[in-house]
Amino acid sequence: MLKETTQAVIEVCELKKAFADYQALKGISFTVNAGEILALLGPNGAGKTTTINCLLGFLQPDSGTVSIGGINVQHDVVRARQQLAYIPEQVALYPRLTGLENVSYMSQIAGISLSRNEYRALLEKVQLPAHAIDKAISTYSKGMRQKVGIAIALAKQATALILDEPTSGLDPSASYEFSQLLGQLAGQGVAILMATHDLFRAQEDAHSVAILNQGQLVHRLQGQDMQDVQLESLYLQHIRREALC
Amino acid sequence: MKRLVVKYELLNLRREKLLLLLFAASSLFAVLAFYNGYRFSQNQALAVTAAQQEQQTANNTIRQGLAERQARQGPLNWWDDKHDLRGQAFYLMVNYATKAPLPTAAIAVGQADIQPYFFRMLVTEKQHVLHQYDYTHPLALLLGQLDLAFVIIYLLPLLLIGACFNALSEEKQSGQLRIMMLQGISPATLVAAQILVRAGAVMVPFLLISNLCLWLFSPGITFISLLIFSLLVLLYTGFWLALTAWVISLGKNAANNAARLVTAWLGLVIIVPAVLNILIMTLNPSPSRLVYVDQMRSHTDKVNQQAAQTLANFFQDHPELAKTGTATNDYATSKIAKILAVEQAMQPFDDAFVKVLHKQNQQAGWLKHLSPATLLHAALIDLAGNGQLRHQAFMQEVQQHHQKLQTYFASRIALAAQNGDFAPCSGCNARVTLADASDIPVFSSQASLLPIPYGAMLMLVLLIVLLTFASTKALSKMHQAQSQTVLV
Repeated sequence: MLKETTQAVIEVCELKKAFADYQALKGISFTVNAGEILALLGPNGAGKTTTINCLLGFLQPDSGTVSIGGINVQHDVVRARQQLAYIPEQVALYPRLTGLENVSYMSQIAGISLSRNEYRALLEKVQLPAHAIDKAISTYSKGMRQKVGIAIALAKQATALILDEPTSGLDPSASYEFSQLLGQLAGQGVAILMATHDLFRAQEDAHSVAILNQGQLVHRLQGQDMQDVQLESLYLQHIRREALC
Repeated sequence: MKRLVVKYELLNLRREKLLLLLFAASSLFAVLAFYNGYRFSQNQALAVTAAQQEQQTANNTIRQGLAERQARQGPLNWWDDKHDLRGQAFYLMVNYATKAPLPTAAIAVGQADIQPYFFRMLVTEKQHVLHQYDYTHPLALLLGQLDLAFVIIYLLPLLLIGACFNALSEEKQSGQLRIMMLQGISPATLVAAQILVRAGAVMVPFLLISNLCLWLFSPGITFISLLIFSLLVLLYTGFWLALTAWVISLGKNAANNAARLVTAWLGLVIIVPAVLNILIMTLNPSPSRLVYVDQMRSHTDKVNQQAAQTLANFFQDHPELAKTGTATNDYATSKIAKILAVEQAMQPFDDAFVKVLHKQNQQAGWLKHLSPATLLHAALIDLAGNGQLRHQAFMQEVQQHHQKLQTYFASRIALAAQNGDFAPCSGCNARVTLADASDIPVFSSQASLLPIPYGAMLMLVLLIVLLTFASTKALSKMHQAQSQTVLV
């Protein structure tokens, strides 16, 4: 359940971004509050990854603002990044280092220095099998890598977590475990923005859903609406309508 | 932060087995290159020592055989007589002008493999002694033996490029860079740490082994020589690392970086020196060696035909040797007079060669700044004492020594002829005119000061600073918000 708070952690306001003649984002706005999981849905090319890259500070918006924890990303990207953690579709880590070493390395880069046992406890918390903790990442499955990514976010104590297609390619069991972890994080007050194609997981995990199509936010669902709607038919309805237009 | 990245970069490279590979390759290169340069310099040192011993033995033989010679009754040709000034001057003298290898010689064979490093001196035309090889400017000999200089100039940059070209770009391509930047690391820190570790794996064993070998096996080598050698190597490799960092900072992928860096290597190490050679040779062609030899023969014939005139000119130039008319009939004095006449006639041709060489060297001295490879090559061979600077000084000393010998023998032969020592009576042997060879001029070389290549060092420092500044600027931009170059 959504934690009872209205503190906006991730804020996107009238965000516009064009690549040459192609208008990728046409002035979208949304917020993600502390403890909320927002699923950003949309077909390929809808603008989900562009939105995420603006939030991460890797793309300059043409207009509008993006902020994390009240810090404008364009103005102070270093401080804004301190607030967030990011898990891409493929969690890229050093393949020859172990899970424990990767978490330790990434955390220390972020200025978090824990003991070896504390890092191990983090990996156990995200349910990484004990036998894998000291094995090289190159031997890990995609689901295990996602868990290491979550452990890095946990160590960083990020207030915002941004995920890009996190469950893509995961088997149902791994996907379920991952959802559980997201729920735990949200329960701790982390604002989570998850760009996904997985409508089932979105409906199961998210507290709210935003449907993005052709650079526009075409629908937003939250609270009780999430329970009452057939998300798949709503999604297809919006996407097809836009396609016909 | 940098120490942390260094620690994990080391761990990562060790697991990749790359660290061991770089370490092994670098160590192997250092040992092989040192051995090759050392073997070459040792051969030269042995030849020089042998020449000096031969000269000493010959002098001893003259001294020890004096009594026997004085007691000798049977006929003896002067050209076979060790105790005859004429025999010594024209045929028998064992007198060497040598250029001993410096203690630093193992660093760079340079031009020592084609330039003469010892001459056996006789009283003959200097052209027969000194000008028996083709002059060429230093850049023409860039490709040389597999010595330390070769490894440093050609192979170390390739090893460094191979080790560092994918720094940062691999992280960028795999997506690690985005995660790491979100954790708070700056691309500049990451690149600096990665390059430091990877270059260290190449440079530390190379410098340790090469310095250790030089120190152990090159007696007399000074600390300052080793320091200059190490500084030059560090600055040259520093240039390649700065160039690599700059190429990486452009934000392209690893393959693109590799292609750019290898092209730069080809350009700076192979193409630029080759183009400079062509340019220098085209602008300053050497005079024809065939014409030179032809002129030499022609002047020798002319001098022989005008023997009486030549001798008269000689006594005109050296009136102190013409006290009595008896000298005019002496073969030896006449020969010396002819030698001097031929030398004088050939002087303009010699000057033409020297002039061209001077121009080539002058231009090479400027043009070498166009590539760090040519800059370092010149500095290393000068440091090793196998470059043009020391060789030219040596050749001047040899020429001066040749003149001293001519003067020595000319005056004594003329005096002996005036005294009638060569024909004391009809049918008898000449008197002993050389009882002791110890007063024959001995070649001595002024130890040249160790050249400290400030110019080359300064130029390399300047290039490193410029490239580091440019790459730091580009990497800082990458660290700022909205740096699209981080995205794949």
